[in-house]
Amino acid sequence: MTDAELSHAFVSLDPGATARARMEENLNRDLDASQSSMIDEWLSLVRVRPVMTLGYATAAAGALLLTTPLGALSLALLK
Amino acid sequence: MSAVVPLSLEGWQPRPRSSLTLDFTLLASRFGGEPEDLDEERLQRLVDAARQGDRLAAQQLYRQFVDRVFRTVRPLVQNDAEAEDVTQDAMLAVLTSLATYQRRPGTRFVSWVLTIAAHTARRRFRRQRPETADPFIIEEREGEDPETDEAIDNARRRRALLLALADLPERERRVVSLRYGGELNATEIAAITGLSAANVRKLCERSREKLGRRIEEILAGATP
Repeated sequence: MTDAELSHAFVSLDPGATARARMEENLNRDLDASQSSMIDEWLSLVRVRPVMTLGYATAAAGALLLTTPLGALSLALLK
Repeated sequence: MSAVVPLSLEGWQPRPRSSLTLDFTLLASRFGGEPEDLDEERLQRLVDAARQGDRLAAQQLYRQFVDRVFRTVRPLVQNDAEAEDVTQDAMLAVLTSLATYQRRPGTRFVSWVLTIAAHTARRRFRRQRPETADPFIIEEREGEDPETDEAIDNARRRRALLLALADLPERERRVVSLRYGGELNATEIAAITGLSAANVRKLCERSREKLGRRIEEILAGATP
């Protein structure tokens, strides 16, 4: 048996039309159920790329404090 | 009769795309055509779109790989129903973990998909062997007309292959499934299994000979 013949034989294992449709339907259902919140997604991003994500978050917080009255208001409240 | 499942467009937001080709691919998938084999660049664009919540891109990725995943895990589990479960779990894991996928030079996206599939199959059905009971149970499939010559021939070949695969040791079966079901190369299989690429090639060669002999025996009716 050649490589090509065995590859061709494996195609016979493909799922049938009904199984394919059922899997797609179930996957759609599972995907809907697995929709996560923004916080969850952000935390998973922190887990994957902690340095870059926390760096961006720090830069964003800094920009927010420096370019808006938020920083001045916070300082005034502390005094 | 096979049920037609409508494509779920819930949550889909139209967004501008940079590639007309990608649009045609998505359009074709909506009309139920066979998914076109996409190159790595186009797959990466789909991955990026799916990461941003594009449900159509996620479905296109799913259709691109679902058959290959099923074909890879089917020899590792007992029956079609278990293969469906593992395929679903693996594809769900793929689509919900796209944020963790990092493209590496010389590594195809399919290799990452099949790594997840192989691990899912191994975790769930580690100690089981493919179905060796009455093969006629696995021959008839829903949605197929068992009366046609093509369906009968396909069922015979399928039965022979599954019985032959059941005789292989688990490690060889896994390597063969990734090679011929998943269409991975020796280097990619080596990365998944922890074997060396040379060892993978040797195992493939040896298993191919064994499978060829066994399939011929089964098709000739020498062994049930």
